[in-house]
Amino acid sequence: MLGDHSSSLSSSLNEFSSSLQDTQIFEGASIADGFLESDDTIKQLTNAWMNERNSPELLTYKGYLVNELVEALDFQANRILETPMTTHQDKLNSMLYQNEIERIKFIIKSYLRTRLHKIEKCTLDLLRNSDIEELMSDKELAYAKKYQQLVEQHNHDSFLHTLPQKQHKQDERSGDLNMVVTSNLEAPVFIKVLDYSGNVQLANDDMVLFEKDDIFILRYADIRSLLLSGHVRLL
Amino acid sequence: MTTMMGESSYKLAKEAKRTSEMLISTYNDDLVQNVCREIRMLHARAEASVREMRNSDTAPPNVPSQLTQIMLHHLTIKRNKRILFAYHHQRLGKLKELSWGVGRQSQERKIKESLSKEENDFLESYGDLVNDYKSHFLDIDLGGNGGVGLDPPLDLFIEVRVLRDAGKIITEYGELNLTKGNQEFVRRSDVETLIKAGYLKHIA
Repeated sequence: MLGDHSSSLSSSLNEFSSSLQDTQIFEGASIADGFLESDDTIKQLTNAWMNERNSPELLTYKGYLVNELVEALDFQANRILETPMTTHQDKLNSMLYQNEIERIKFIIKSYLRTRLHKIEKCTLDLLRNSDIEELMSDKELAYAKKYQQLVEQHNHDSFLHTLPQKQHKQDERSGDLNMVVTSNLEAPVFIKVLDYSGNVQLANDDMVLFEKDDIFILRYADIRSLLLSGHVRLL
Repeated sequence: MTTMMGESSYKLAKEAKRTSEMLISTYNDDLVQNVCREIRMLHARAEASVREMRNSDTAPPNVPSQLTQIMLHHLTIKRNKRILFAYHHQRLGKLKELSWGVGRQSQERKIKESLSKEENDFLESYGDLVNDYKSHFLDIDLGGNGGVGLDPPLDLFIEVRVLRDAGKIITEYGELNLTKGNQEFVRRSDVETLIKAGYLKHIA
């Protein structure tokens, strides 16, 4: 960890680079009280972000993680502004904290935007079929409703109003085509097995043996329940 | 019919394909109206056929030519509708990018001129919707391209070159003087929007 007692820049840099070799930058820099308590939260949010980026459907909103980190970010930013920057060591520390803040902001931003993208893609499907309101945060829910209304209104005003009564969305079209976009649950995903071990039944009647730390590429539909219960994560 | 069925919608589909990569093109109101007119006409004809079949003497609807005609009209109507939706959907996608500030901001005015009235309304309302959502997460600046292509930032400060004069910019951490041709060492977060807008260029 960064020593508080070394006064020369080079020795602190040496310590910093050696600590980096065995820990990620998050853990290496979060010696400050602000982020130390949230270290686990950061890991969880990183996992949630990776899962969200790689999954074809919208996963449950981890509101508690986001909220906690937003608060911690604010707290940490204030601390940085308040600490006096006298020595080189202080300045280096400050830079590291700020870097960490930027990286966490990036994850939160990517997480939220990925979710919004999925919401915009399958709005009507989500609004109609998701029975749990914890899938989206209430702000996302409001966003989804408003977005759906905006798009419908735009389509209606642009051309639908000129057509006879049998207009508007959501028909089942011939066989494959459906006007309501649903997420593609058959998409392939890379998974890593966290703690489940045993046989898993796939859709085409094959059995696969899962052991801890195995990595597979499978169709999303096959491992969906395992993902939701936390036994597996997406890479 | 002097033109083929579905010809207008075919033209519309081709235009959508042609403009898919470029910046938004002018809203092709003519073609859209043509397609709608065709739908109305087909619908009227199909209805007339159905009524005729109902009123005719042959009790079970056994006249294959009439059935196929109705079916054909129906399918063409659905196809036209599908193309109309696809065309509008593609245009909306480009407008949405604008609202999130993904680098087309420098051509914003040109874009606005090519939109139909309804698209302008959508742009405004969507912009409001986005700002509303952003306002819940003020610290985080949800703009930019949604974190898709980017890696998490490695450096706090980056080198940029100024492409256009932008005068003095005041940021949280100080002032920046942007004159064309200067190279600056600036904090990444201050400068991301400017890079997207094309005023600065990130130098590796």
